[in-house]
Amino acid sequence: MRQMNQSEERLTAALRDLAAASKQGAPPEIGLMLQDAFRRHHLRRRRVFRLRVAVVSICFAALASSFLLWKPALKKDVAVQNGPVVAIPIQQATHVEATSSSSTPPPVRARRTSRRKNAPAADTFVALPSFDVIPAGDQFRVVRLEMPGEDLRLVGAHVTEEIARRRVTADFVVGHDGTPYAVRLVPTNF
Amino acid sequence: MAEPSRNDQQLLRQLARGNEPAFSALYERYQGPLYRFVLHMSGNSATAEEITQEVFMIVIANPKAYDPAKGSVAGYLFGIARNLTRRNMQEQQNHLPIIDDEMGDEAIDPADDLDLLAEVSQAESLECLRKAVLALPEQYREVVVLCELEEMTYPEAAGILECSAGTIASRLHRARTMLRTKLKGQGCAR
Repeated sequence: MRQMNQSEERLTAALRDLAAASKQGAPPEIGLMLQDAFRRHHLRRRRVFRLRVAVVSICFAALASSFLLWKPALKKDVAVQNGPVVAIPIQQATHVEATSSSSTPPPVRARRTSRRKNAPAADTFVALPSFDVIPAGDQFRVVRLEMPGEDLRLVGAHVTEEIARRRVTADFVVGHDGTPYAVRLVPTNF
Repeated sequence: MAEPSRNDQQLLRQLARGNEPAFSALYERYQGPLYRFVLHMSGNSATAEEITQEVFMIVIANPKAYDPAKGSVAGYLFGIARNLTRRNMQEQQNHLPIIDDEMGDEAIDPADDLDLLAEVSQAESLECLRKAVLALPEQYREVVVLCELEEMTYPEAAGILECSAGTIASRLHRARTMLRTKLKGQGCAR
């Protein structure tokens, strides 16, 4: 029995010697190569991730902009149908720019694409959101008025604080009964 | 074992997010044991280097393939190494040194072994022992490498080889018997 134990111990010792005599690990260059591979893999992974994010963002932006292009037209219709009539506090009519005898109103762009989002655009008419449906066959005129910016708010136009504090010159599209339907700021205000 | 295992899982999670120090830590922890495991299983340092590298390349490419429910990170890594080694050995089967794997069940007289093992434990006879280990059938070689050369406990080896600790114990007992027989058969002792 004792001999068997000695035999086992010697075999164990021999195996330990074999383990100790063997190479203990992979050469360092394998570690360096793997680190490099790790870096490259994750660099590539991050690039793919960024590319995916960019593609998704572009798709989202495209969807959002197409939605926005549709939505103002709908809003305008709703506003025109539901908005209450508001009197125009005209302070000083300085100039009647043009008179339209046709039933077609001047081009009104409801979409606000200007950088000054809260102000009527300088070059395009912005529909006033709170007036009745434009009656068919109505005649329109463009009236240029000089007035305090604050008063523009009263007719439903969105104006910035800066504009509200000073006098501005604005063109109004008005019906034959004086109802204003759209407004634009004269570029001299900017 | 539970604490390092949890630590390994954290490292693997960080590694999956591209944390290079986590990869380096995991590599430093396992490259040695994996390399030695493959070296003793295949008897070829080039194969050991190649497979160690391949194991970590797999981890880099797909760290989320590890399922904590199936076992430890060590078991996962050794499992990859084991499969790759097995495949490699099947491919190179004809090139491996062929040593008689026939194992008689005859009892060995321990007294005869003593002198033999005394010789084997000498440094010059380690090559003889290495060949004897390599000549063991794969399932016995695995337990000798893990339990004797890597000094793992039975439960640790059982986790890696996906069998019970009792199976490891019985395989190891039989492997040691086979080793003694092979050493005797090879006539390594002078």
